[in-house]
Amino acid sequence: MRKLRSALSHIAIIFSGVFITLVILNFYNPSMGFLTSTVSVVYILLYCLTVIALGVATVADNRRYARHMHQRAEEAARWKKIGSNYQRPPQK
Amino acid sequence: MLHKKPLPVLLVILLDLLGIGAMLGIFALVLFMPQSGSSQPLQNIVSSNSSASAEETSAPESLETPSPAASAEAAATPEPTPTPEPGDFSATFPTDEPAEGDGIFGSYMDENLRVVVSEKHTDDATYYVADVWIRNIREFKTAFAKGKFGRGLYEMPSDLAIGKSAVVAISGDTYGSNSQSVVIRNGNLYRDTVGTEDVCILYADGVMESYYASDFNLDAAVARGAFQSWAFGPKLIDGGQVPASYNTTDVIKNHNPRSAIGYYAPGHYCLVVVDGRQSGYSRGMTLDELSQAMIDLGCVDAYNLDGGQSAMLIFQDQVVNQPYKGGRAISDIIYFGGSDPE
Repeated sequence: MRKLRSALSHIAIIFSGVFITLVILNFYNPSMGFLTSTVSVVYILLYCLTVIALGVATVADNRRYARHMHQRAEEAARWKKIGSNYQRPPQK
Repeated sequence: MLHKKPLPVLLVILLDLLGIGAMLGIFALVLFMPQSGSSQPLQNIVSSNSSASAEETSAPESLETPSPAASAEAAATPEPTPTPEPGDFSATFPTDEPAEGDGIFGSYMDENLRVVVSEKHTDDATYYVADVWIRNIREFKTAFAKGKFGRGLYEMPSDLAIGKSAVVAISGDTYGSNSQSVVIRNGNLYRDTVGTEDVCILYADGVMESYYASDFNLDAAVARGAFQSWAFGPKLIDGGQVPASYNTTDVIKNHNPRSAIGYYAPGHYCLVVVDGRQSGYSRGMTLDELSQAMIDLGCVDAYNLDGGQSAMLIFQDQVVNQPYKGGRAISDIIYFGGSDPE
């Protein structure tokens, strides 16, 4: 999962760089259709899919981590309870 | 579990930059690669034999035998003068020879075309105006680079003009760089997608009108008989005034080399090219300055074409202006005289 998130992050960075470049080019020559051409639309679609996949992977990872931490907390509480029930005999 | 040592930060950044470069390369390849689609028009709007059909309809012959009363009435009625067909500007076509003088770069006149090219100056710009009169709308011609409609096809405007033996020619709207703009050329509809640019239409009756992108209706233009279209813009004159705002970016509004087409009346047009980005010679014009120049020339409508390095005016096989960096290959030209379009 970590490798997938890392790969998706880099793809998102690459697409962001591409779009920043296209926006600048479009500013200088709007009639070239840098942001409206078919290939731009395909890039936008791929970018959106990448970001959705990255988002889903991040949320799933966060949930798994939260569940793990919750289980650890529950386990710690259980051990604490066991520990408190265990009465050491009074020292003479 | 033994974790792998991460790559150095600089290497990761470099790899990402390489990825951006690769994606931009693919983008450029797809965007600028010549596309082998159909170069045939989608629709013929103004047929090439409209002149003949108009002549036929201008003097209809009755097949019925006229009654004596009708004959008497016909004899009393004076012979009607045939109404000129739309696109025939013989009535207004000037017959006087173009004057030679100061600031005149050159002139040309034949029975269908009259062109006077003059050089003008402002404080920091040099520009050229080709004043064009035509006898018939068929003299108003456009040509595609490589002789066919298609994206990614480019040719130097001067080569295109010389290839057509044009008397006068100007760089067009570079339709081939854009897939979302309407293309009507020489009475044929080649592309029917309307983009976000302002649109200029020359109708078969000689009227030229430019429209804000939001106001343009392709179906109405086709129904009215659109003969040529350009989709670059912006529109330069709004109700006889400099527009309050332009449908383009601030970079385009600044001083730049320009090319534009102006309209006076059916059959009378002007082509304007402004040199720019050449310090000590000509800085170029802002869109406001270009609008004002077109109004000062007397145009009632005007439209900005592909400027910058593309701006080029050719008169009798000679490049009139000094294009920035020598000019560049574009998709199309507007031309007068010479051979007919494909």
